[in-house]
Amino acid sequence: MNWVTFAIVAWICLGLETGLRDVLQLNPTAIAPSFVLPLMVFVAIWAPSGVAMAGAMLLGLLVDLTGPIATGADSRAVVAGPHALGYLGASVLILNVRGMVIRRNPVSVVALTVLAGIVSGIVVVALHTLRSMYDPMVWDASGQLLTRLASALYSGVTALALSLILFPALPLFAFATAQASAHTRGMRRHA
Amino acid sequence: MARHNSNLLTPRRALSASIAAALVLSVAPIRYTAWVGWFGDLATRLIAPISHPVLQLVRWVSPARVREDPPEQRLKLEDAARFQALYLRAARENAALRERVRDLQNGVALNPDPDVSLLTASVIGISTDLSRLLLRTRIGTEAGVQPRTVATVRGVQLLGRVVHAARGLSEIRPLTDDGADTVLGRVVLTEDGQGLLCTLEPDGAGNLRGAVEDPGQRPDLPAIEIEPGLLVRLDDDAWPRHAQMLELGRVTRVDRAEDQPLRRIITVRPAMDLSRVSDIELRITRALEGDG
Repeated sequence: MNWVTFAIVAWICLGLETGLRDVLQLNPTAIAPSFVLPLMVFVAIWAPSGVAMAGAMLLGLLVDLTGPIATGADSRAVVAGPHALGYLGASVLILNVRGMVIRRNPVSVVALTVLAGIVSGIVVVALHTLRSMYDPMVWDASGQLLTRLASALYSGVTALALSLILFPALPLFAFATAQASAHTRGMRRHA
Repeated sequence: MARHNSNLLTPRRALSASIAAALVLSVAPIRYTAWVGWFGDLATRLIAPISHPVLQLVRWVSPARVREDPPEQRLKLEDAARFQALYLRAARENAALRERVRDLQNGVALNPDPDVSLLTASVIGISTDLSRLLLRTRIGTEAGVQPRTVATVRGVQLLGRVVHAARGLSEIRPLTDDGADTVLGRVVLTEDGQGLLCTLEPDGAGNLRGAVEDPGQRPDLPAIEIEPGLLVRLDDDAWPRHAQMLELGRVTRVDRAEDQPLRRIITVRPAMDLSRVSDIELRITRALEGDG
């Protein structure tokens, strides 16, 4: 995979996520779609397994670094790891099922994004709930789980929009898999 | 030997080491992983060139809901509101100073009032965590911003407090965020700022909600019914003196408490949606704030 392309796209997706969150959020809840999750799914669908897992962990780590948790009314802390592990788990799941889906179909990206969001949400909530037992955290496990599951569903919308942009950009990622190469050759032939 | 050394750095081992590190960081107590915050600040600054323009575009397309007044009238109203807040604050400080004079006569030392300067900052992004809402600005410790620095909107509407400050970055939790603390306010009933005290907390819908003092317990106040439209100001010693009498919002609803029918519960809505503001003011004090 072209890591430079990946870094630039990840940078843009993370910026969109923080910039558009409040306007896309379903007030008064905190349910909001993710732009980073569909990117992780896209990479997991096309990249070799090791690259997909590494990319997922990197994206999850970035989400952790830009999403501090509340440790009090006037304090917060950055916890690295929960989203990295959540995205890793989701990418492993996608690696196991990607052979059963049509990779070039945006609907596949949507469905896998929702699935990935559910898996990563469960992992994140579990880890934060464990942490809340010994660290001062403002945390409501059941509420957070519902919020993240709903956000996973909502992320299907951003996944559809992003897939329309990412699929044509597939050659830029230079994924070293037979399917990606075949898809790129097909695009060039049609062009 | 070289072949043995190269086997130490296989991608599989690197991934395994990364997973182990992520597991350790995920469960390690926060007091041992505070250094991760530096990387968080760095990541936030790196994405600001994308998030800030996107946020500005969003604010331009869909600005925060404010009262519909003509621009000139709105400026005059804001000036009037600013001066009124200054007057009420001065009145409150006069009362506090009179009490201090009495204390001084009994030998209690005075604390100097810190100087306060207003620093305007643009919101460049919002935290990505779904559990809490934090507004981010590019101004940080280099400008004197510290944790618990007070933030306002348009000079008179209280926004919240800084929860994290680093060089070139600060994060503010709005009053109306679910994680924000309870605030004490005053439902203003007279022109000199007298009114009924209330205890407010976020209701999860962008408002503050809570019980108000029983008017029957305040014979010194005029018999004015609490109704929608009344202004509520901050009156909480947990906040700095320079923040007292800033606006919390206006009463939009008055209900009866279910367990105590004589007790009234008010809903207070800020002048604008605090989660969607684009420009804020940070009230920088010269000395460290000793109260609250």
